[in-house]
Amino acid sequence: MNLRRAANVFSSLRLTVVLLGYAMVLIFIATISQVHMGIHEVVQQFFRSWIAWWDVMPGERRWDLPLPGGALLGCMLIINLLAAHGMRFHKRKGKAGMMLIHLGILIMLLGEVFTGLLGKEAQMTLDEGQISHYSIYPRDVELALIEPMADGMQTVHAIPQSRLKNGAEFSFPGLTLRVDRYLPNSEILEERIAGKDFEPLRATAGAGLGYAVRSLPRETAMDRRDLSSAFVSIIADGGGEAPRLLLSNVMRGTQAFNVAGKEWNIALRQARLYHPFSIKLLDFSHDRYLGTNVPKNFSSKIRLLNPETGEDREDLIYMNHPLRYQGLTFYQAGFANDDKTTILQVVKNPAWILPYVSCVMVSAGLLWVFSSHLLKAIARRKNSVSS
Amino acid sequence: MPSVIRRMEVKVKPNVMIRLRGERMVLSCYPMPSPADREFLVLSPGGSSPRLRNGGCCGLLDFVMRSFDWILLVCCVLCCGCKEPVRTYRIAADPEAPAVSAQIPDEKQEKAAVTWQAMPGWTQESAGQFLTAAYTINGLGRLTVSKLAGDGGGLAANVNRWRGQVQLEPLPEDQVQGQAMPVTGSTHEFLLFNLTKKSPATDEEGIFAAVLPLERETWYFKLTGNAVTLQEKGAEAFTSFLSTVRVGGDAAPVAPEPPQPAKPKIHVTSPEGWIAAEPGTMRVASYTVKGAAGETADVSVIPLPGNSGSILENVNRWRGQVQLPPLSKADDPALGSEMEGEAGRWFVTHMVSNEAILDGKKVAISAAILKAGGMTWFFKMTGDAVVVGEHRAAFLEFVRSATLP
Repeated sequence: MNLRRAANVFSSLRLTVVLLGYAMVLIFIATISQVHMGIHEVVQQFFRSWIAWWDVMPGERRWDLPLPGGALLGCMLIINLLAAHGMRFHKRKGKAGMMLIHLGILIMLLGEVFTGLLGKEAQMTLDEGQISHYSIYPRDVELALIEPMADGMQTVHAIPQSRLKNGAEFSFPGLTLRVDRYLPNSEILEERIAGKDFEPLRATAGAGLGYAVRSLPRETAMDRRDLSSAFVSIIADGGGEAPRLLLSNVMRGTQAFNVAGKEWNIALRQARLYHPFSIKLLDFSHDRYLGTNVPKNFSSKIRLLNPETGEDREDLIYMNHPLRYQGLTFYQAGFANDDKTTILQVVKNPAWILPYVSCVMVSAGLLWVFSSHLLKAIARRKNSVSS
Repeated sequence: MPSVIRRMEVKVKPNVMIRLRGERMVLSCYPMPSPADREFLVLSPGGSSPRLRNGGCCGLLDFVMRSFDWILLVCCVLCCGCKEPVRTYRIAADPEAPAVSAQIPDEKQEKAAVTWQAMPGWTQESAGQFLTAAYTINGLGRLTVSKLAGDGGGLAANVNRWRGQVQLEPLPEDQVQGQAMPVTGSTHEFLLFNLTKKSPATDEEGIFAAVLPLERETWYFKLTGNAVTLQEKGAEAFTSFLSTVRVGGDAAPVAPEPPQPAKPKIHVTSPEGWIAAEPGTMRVASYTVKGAAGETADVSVIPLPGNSGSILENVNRWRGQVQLPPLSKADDPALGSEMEGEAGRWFVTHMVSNEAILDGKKVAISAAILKAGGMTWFFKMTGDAVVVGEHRAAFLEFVRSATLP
């Protein structure tokens, strides 16, 4: 009986209305919160979470109110839709339109699930004349342990940000890395001018000698990045001294160290998305309306080189005209360095087609429903006239 | 021959319906079948074996509902237990240089590289979206300052845009040439443009513009007003203002100043208590005069070539600066008087504003004009009315004692 009652609840129209009501409230609050949180944090905290903790008075007093997150609402709507179809809707020809509409909505909901799970969003920053075969994730860092090889290549062990926790250890052939302290966002200052609120931990070797670090709240603005830092100890398999390095994504390049006569490099850097092709920026143009700083057009003239397919061609990326290549879309996202550097947003979304399919299905379903009602109404009118 | 019933539907309970479809009998339950319904189904006789269908997807839903806790548990375990793996890959070495030192990102905003000083009596107004600053100059027009990235779309395009604003024909690009004027204390120079018609109508507008191209940006100083007024008295006000513009901040290091054209000379003896100041481009001498309560007045000595306007025009220009109505007659006693000095015959004038226009205080101007040797010399003391009044006698003595070489 309990199962039946639960099924009745899950399939009820009342639940649909409640869920849609919550969705409206969530969208409204997320829109307001976007002002101080930034769009990325809002998407993560409100729409891709099961429970959305809403900071009611941001910047004044920490008072979080729990709300059903987008993931919870989406899953509940999917269950509600399936349950309603299983229990209440009759499979009749006349209901085909409604089925199509609901299937379209289901695909739309699933599309967001797949986008959240499979989608990737990175950036490629190129100076004029520079060539690159990887993009970076502006909001994620990775701890890269690099083993230079004799053939000019290097073996990279990339530890993702989610694994960087205080006390975490990672073993590699010949050595173990221990994360003594990881700060997702931080401030680094010279030890002599650092205040008392800086952490007492210090590096014992490397480029971070003489610097102090303190933790900061995560950056939320779209145009700012976290300055992540980590104190990492290098423990050789044979024991002995374990130097502690200060690593940060603000440091350029890598830091080198030796373990048992073998040279390694290590860096805390933005997580990378490698491509099997390269892109070279030939020229970046930033046109403005005359007499103003209002942008008229941004465009990046690029050269695409793919050694696997032998492709070597030029393309122009500009607003609303991205480059689509190998499942990736390169949008013109920004510029820097006095218009000599382009910033391309690199988006991978295997589920990009689903919203389009969904819209077509919902449109067709609505057309079906309205047409059938119209035809019935015409038929009734004819009957009443003839009778 | 009796007809064979192939399709039949019988509602046996409010939520249970038996459908006969050909050889098969189907029991449909909406909503879920209760245990009693199941019992009914099992006990119901019939030639064909009945098949339970929970209304379409209900079988699947039933399974999902029965296994929901298990599915949830498995999902939780999968979600919580999954750790992102450490990726290991071979790749060509990065061209990046090894780390040299920890660096803090340079978060300082680009400072305004260009500064200027508004003249007394100018009223600052809201600059809006496209301007950096805007001032209303009584009796003259409106001065705006704006900055654009890079070359701002090009010199010719902007000059021709302004020409269009004052109904002047556009010029070919190679004919757009401004008069160069150095920026004080800098190697940069303005390009000046006089965008007024030769003989403008009384109601026509004109523009005096100065373009200051820097390494990364271009600054535009534009004085817009009645073309006749601009021609009469705009040049001095505009160039005086431009002489206050400084290029600093993050601008390129200033190279040694190139040799400046020799300024006209005049020998002056400053009264006691006057503080000499940097004269700038336009002035040959500059002083700051302080009053008892700390108020100040500015004394300037400016030579301009040629006639540089009539006495009436110059006095009216100064009267405009202290918001007094212009005088109409050249023999108006309020105009001023003549005075003999070491350098020649001076015209001297003194005026005080009717209203408090500078920090709640009245402003006064004491000025003297000398036309000699193809030049017009302007000696002028501007500032707080009390200070100017206190130092007026010293100013007149300062004027009288000036000697030309």
